[in-house]
Amino acid sequence: MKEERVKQLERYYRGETSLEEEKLLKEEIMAAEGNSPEKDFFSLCAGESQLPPGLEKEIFAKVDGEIRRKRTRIRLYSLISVAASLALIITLYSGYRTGQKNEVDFQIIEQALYNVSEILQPELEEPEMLVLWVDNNVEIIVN
Amino acid sequence: MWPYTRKLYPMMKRMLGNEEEIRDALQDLMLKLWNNREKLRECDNPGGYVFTAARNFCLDLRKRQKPRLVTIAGDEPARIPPDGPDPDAREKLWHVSQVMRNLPGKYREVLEMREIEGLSFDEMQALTGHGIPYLRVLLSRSRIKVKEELEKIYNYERGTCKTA
Repeated sequence: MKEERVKQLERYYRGETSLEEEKLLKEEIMAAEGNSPEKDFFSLCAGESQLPPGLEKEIFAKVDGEIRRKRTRIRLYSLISVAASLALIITLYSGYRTGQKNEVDFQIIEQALYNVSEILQPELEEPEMLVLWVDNNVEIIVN
Repeated sequence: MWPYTRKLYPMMKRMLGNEEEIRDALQDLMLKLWNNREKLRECDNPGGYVFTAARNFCLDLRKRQKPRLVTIAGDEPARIPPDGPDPDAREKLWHVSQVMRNLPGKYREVLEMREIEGLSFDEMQALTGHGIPYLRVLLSRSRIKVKEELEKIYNYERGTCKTA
């Protein structure tokens, strides 16, 4: 066991060990009796890499809350945009319908006005003509 | 995405320093990552993507901040629990943190990435731009250097401090 550890330590100092091997090696050395530079070094590193208690939960809760808020906001925006689109379509359609109706009304009024104007218009009188000469070849008429 | 929190925290702590700022930054970053989750899913090296995004995010935050009177987190000694059980152990931890602090920049960076943040070589490559063989060399040298420096300070066979 000790020989194995020595070999692993040599590989560790050559930078050849994997993260998993290093984890096991650190556990073994920290559990071993006595002092060693490795023990002190690993001890400091373990302290440095420690997360404050509850930090992960706190960050997760905050990020989760933010993501939920964002999703709700997106849903709300989608609903608002759908509603706005519907309102726009309805307005345009009713405007179109109103436009069509106005056109028909205008035609009716135009027809009515034409009829009225026709009634009011005096009939065209036949122009008086003075026939001066008529024969087989020539007609001489004065308006 | 969530498993990265554990690795991101020490990195952001070193870059930002202030605990409250780290929490806010971590929350914002996680939200950004969530929004980019499709990109993350398609990524060949998601870890590399996450850590690069985190580093850029922290650098950006630091750029926007007003200059602080305290030194940047990376130059501060590592955190040692103030209520440690044993004053000797605390002293030793303080020595280790000093040894790490005095390492050349590249060595320290690689060592912290591997030993504190627990990054894989692929993730370290994405962050540093160095090839994996070179990263292995840097890591090996930095580990040996820390060991040698600690052995200079502390007599591990006798269990006494040489500098005392």
